Amino acid sequence: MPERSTIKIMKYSFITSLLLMLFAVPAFAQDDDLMKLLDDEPVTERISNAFKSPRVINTHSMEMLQAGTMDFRILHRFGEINQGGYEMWGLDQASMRMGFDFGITRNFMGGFGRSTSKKEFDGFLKYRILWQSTGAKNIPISLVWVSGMTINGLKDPIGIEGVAVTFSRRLGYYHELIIGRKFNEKFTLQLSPTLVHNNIVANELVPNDLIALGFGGRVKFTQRMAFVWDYTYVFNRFPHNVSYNPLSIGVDIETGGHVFQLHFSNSAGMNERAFITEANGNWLKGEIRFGFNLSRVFQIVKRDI
Amino acid sequence: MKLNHLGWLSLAFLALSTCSSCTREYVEDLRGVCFERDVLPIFQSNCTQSGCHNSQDRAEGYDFTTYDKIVSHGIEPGNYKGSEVYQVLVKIGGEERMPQSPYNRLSDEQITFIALWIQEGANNTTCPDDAACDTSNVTYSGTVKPLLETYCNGCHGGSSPLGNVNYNTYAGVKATVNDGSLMGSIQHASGYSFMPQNGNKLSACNISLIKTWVDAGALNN
Repeated sequence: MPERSTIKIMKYSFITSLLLMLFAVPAFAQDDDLMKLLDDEPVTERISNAFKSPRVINTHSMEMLQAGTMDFRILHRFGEINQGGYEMWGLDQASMRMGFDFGITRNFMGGFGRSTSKKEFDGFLKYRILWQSTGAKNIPISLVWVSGMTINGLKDPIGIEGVAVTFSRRLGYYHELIIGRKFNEKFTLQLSPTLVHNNIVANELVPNDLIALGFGGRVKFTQRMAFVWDYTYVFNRFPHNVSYNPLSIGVDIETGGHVFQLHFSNSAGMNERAFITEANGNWLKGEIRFGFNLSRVFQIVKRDI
Repeated sequence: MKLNHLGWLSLAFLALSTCSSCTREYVEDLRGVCFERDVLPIFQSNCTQSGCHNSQDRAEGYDFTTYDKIVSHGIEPGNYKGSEVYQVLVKIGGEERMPQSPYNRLSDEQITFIALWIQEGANNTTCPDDAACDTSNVTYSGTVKPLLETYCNGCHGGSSPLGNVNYNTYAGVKATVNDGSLMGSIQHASGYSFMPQNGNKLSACNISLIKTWVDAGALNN
């Protein structure tokens, strides 16, 4: 009896989240998931809480949501702080992204969100290939794959006469492989080779495919607080400009149920296409923004597993 | 570790859907980059300051004042990445990058214009629809005087010309040609007061019209 209700709600959450992400999953997939639930792992201790949430700050982290949970994320990025007191150091201007991420199985999650900037929708799927473990099975790292898609929602996203606006010209994609390791209770590091694709770019010299490497990490300094950073180096941006590489530095604060991430960043973008492709500020010139991520995880499927 | 089939299937779907709707397009301006309007003014106002790449100082042997001199070295037509003139624009900071500190890096738009122009063959293109920029028949009375009246005589004309610059007469104009301040000011060369003060810089076409007249000897014709 409890099993049946689980399946039903699971089905529902599958369908809603996947439909919203424009994907169809064959019906037999759910049976497979059931089989997996029956599997019991032996005495292997899986490493958890490498990060407090599935995002470092901007980039995806090696963490996953638990199956049956939903993470409601509200992200804000304010204006550049070098604008001075009249603009309240940027706080007068805010741009935001509202996102819903779903933990579907232990190793699989997906989510979608919408940013005010460019009225952009984005969705992603995230799959854990390897889970860092100790004990019977010793796996030194976690390996996580993320693929996502962005849809520019502006009425006229290109803004050039004579260039027709088609649906495919609104699209961008990103794929990344996260290689992460929680070294100890305090210290976590991850590398994420990333590919960002834009279907249309401004001129022939701008590459459609950007290749980037992300560096993220965390140093936990109290039970509830941690210092986090992420940086993404882009190899083939045109025109080449290192100061545009997004660097965010912040603090995670866990307050029973919520995770607050307060940070400073030179990037206003809140999805991979935006913060990797777009022109970001220069840290050395004070073109930095204050921002915060607010994350609240809800249990939407009963944990009778 | 067991592979999760649902995960793999979804990834396969994602990969498929990604490939099927993945395109590679870029916006192309069919008219191409216009050297005279889009590129030359960038070189002139950012590289030819006193002590830098102008006809007198020719720092490191580079002179960026005219088309022929710009393309004479550091530019490989059709290969912007291999062109030194492009490479120095995107160097990271310090002495290596041009314009050198304390001048700012060129804007992305300016760098893009230069790179696209090199990529398109680094030709001496003029703007076809910009008929006004015909520098073949420039005279003082027909070309330069009306321009000065429009842009300069608000301050440098009338009964009390400012800054000891009097454009009511040819002699007053000639004096600023002789000491270099006319071209220096309107081209925003360093060491001169940028003119028009607090206004937009003259268009590249207008500057080249005046320059043509100055180069021809600033005659009273």
